[in-house]
Amino acid sequence: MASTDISNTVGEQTDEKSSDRTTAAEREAAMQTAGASRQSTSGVDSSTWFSGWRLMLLRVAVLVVTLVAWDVASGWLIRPVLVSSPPEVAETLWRWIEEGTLWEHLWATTQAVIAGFLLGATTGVVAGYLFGTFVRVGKVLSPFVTALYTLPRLALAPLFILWFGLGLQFKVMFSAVIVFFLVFFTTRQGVEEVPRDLVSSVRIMGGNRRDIAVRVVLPSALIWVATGLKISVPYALVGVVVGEMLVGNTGLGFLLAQSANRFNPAGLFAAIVVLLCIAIIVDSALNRLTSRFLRWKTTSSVT
Amino acid sequence: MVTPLDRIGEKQATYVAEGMVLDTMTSSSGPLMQTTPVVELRSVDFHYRPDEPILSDFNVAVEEGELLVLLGPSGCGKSTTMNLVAGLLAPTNGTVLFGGQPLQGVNRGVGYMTQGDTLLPWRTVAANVGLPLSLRNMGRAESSELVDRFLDLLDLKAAANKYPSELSGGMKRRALLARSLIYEPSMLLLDEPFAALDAQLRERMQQELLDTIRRLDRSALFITHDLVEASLIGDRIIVMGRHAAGVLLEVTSPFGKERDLEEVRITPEFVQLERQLRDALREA
Repeated sequence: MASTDISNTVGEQTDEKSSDRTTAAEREAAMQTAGASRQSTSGVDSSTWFSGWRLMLLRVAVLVVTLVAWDVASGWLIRPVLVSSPPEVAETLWRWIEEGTLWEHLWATTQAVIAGFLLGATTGVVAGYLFGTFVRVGKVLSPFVTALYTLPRLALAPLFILWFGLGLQFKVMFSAVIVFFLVFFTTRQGVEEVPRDLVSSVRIMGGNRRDIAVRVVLPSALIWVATGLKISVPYALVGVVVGEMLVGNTGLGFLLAQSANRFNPAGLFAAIVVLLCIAIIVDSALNRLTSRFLRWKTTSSVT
Repeated sequence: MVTPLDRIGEKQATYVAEGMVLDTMTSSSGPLMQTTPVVELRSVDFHYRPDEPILSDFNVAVEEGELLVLLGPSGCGKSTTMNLVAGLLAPTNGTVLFGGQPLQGVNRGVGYMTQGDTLLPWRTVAANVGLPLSLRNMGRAESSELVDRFLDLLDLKAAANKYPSELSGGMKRRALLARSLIYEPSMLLLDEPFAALDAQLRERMQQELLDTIRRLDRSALFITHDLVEASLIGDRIIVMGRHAAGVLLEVTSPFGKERDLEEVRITPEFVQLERQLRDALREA
């Protein structure tokens, strides 16, 4: 009796052995909630004070301080031709918006990023899944894939220009190759790392090969695939922007290269600001998307 | 729920007197002898490399309604035995009979539970417990009714829509038990199912396991290296030796099938049984 009483910390005094057993689950649940509330009360100061509008305000403050420091330093500490200044950058941005230049180049870049990402991600997931499932094929081909992966992607640019020309197709392919490898490796890892005892327990429960692929391997690998997809989106952007800097006459990469050629620091910073905005929007969209699909993973563990 | 509670064990409720702990090398006596064993290993050899046999000429049978414990040090082949019964491994020589028929491929007539957490983390408790039913293409209505019943049986109603990451160790064990019982397998294979739990929770789960399989009238093969656990829950206990030594000792439990583990613990028979097993393990 004494042994069961130790766990009886929530206040109920049940001494009947049988009822002790039947309420075991309730007691456990109660202990958990008790533990959880204890945690939250101890961490209450930092979590509630530091959330919501206060956090937002602090972030805005950091931004304002940075901009003011930039403005002050420009011309006083550093030559304006190197760093431009916030008003000049804002002016350039406004001009691009008014003239429509911004939308034209933004659209060119976005288009290429989406196409490159989709192409690279699809082929990467499929190839990663196949390599992870058919382990022998994977073993034979794996040194070649690794060699290609290690090759600096920029080295492929001249070849790709030769194959795909100077337009959209080149940018898409260039960024797809970068995305492919990232997604390929994470997907393959995910498929290979499916716990064996998970697979054997589903087999004994009556699952056939297809059941195991659909109900165990795919969902289990999904967390890896999602990670791969998430980290590869910024790289898709990198691929396209680098491609645009190398060749062509559209896109944010082209704006960057053009401003650099004309010694126009305001233009350079304006293009960077646009890229920053894209990065923030894409990242928060991805976070929202992945947290929806991986709700089971994000629900916090109580134990 | 109608339970076959009363069918078994009532007569055995009074403890067998000291000295009646059986020490036989044959299969258990009693009226169950005539029926076909649920599972039987007949002169089974198993090895990965011929010079390192894991099992050689090994014989064991689990009778209907019995909880057989395989006790032994690591490396004695008890997990191999379990995987042979599960059909995850095939014997090098000899046969595995399941319900009197030679076993081929994965054994879908058993429930399987290891110490690992094999709940699918992306499925809720209810969806995990119902998984074997949906693998068998059972209709939605019928399946959810059955799931409800098993969640109720194992005190998991409140956790039905939680994900495994939100569960405590004991709740996970209960969910795994519910999942391995829901498709009415003829027997349960339990490979150190409570090894990862703290002592207190382990005791509670042992009692719950006994109550549940008695209620559903199931047979079980239970593997452990913990001799207290073996003494507490086994109807019959087999001690296995290292290096394919096979069965060192076979003991029938002096305790009835309906047992209260807290009471069993303080009986002299328990102490004697534990000592007997301890001596055998020392040789192993």
